[in-house]
Amino acid sequence: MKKKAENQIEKKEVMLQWKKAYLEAVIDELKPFGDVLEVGYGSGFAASRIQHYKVKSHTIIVQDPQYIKESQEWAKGYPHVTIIEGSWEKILPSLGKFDTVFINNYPMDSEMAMLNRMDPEEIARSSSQAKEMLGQLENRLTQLNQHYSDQEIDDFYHQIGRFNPKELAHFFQKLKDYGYITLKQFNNVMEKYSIHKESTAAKSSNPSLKDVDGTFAFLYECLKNHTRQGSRLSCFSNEITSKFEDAQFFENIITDPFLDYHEKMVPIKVPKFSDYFKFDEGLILMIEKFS
Amino acid sequence: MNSSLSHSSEEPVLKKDHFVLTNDRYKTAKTSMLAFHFEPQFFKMTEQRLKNSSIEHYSVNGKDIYTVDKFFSSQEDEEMFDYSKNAKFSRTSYASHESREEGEEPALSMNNQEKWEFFARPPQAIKEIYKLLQLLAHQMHADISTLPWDLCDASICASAVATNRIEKVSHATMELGKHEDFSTEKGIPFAIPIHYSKEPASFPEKFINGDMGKPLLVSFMLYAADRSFLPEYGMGTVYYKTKEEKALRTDCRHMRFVFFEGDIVHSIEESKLPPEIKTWRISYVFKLLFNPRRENVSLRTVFYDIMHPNK
Repeated sequence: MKKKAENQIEKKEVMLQWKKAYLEAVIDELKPFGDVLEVGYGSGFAASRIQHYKVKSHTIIVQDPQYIKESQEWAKGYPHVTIIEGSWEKILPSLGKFDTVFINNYPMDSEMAMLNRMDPEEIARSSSQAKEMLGQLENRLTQLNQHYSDQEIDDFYHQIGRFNPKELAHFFQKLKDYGYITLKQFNNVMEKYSIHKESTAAKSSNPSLKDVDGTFAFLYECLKNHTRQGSRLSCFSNEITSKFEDAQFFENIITDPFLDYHEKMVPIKVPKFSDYFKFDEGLILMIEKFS
Repeated sequence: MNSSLSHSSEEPVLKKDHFVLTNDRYKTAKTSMLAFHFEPQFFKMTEQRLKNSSIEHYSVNGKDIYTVDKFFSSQEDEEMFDYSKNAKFSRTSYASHESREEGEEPALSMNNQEKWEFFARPPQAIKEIYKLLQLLAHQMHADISTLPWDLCDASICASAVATNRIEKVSHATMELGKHEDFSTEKGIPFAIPIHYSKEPASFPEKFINGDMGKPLLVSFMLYAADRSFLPEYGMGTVYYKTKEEKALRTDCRHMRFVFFEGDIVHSIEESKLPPEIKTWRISYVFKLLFNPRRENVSLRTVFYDIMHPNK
């Protein structure tokens, strides 16, 4: 029992380190200045890194009650930091304009909870191969050039895919999109293994806050009402798929003539037992407002 | 090369818009109804370029095809060659659902990021094409725009901007790759507004392309090719009367562009490369909507008059 607990603590620390590295890379790309708005506190990595930049003010909206106290304690060490408790949806309308905006919406609890429940050997056995195959393969799909047989698909499911049902629908969708499996094979495997298909609901071109991904909704609202000329925005991204492939992001942000958008990949070392983030790279995106 | 062409410093002007989707088949997370309009404007130098170009007209089943050569300057030619040689094409693409299912060899195409950067920050030659489209919009009294950026169903994505980079094409791929870019007679999955209507209204889903008072859906295609490429290597475009019967073929020539009605069945021609030759050719395609602002006009006729080769 004691050994398991020590093991878990060690794993938690290791996991926090990769997030620290990624978040610091995002903040360094963002180069915070002026009045900063941050949503989410998490472990405080992003907040601490923002403070390296001697910003004028730093407002942090914290919704999760377990992080309110932690963030308030941390804020005592820094001037010009304001912690506001609540959801951004409720609080943002009452706030003014900001020069730098960052949303840190990494779901701290889900990965910790899973880590606490599973036996370490079970984690390693079920996740490591899946992480390697799904994460790395998905990342390199454009470089593959083959067609998979029905038998290969079944083998893949039994050896790897069934340990990551959440990711599987997305992965098979990608295989189909790139032509490595046919539509017929895709439909067959989804039905055979009762894999929940990804939602195919269209996203509105003029989103209401209710309909869309939370991060996008937040960025969109900030761009409309809470930023100035020269403001910069970024976010934590738990996916590595380019935003150019996200129709909503593409239509509303990337192709906006008054915004400059760029993104890049940075290498990050993710622990083998991470069930949440499966890739060896992280996506950093940056939006700058011209007018 | 075209002699009228110290190019003007005027920049093209495009306006962003959205179409409304009317067919649930395309209601997917990847569909984007974004479109770009080419603001009507008279460019004297662009008009001069067109007059000095070499234009040929063809007809297939009463539908028009125009090939245009010598529109660009040598500088634009060179820039487009360099751009094409170094451009990234990170995706594979297929002509249609059916051809993909039946084993077509895909072409290489640009992914969304590469495509957007090509469209939004293009080489000078493409800017001159944008100005040409603005000129046509002005002269035709029409609204000219792209089709929706990406119309995607469960299996395939039809993009308003398409790029195909190929090095060889087999006979089987040519056969499998036969397709129409769209068919107004089978139905258009988005609402096209009637500009001359006093009340807000849209055209019916099905209509005859370019008919009196109706929109004209046209595909634009610019070829770029390696310096070693010769027209006799094939890989031009074949147009068909029916799916089985060829009507004509047009050569692939560097910096040639083609306007053709997008409901003509067509395919990339098979290659006829000597074994020792390694080369490439690229087509840059814009799928366009010419939407009339006047009711009693056939845009097909107006377009013909503008492009008429007998100057």
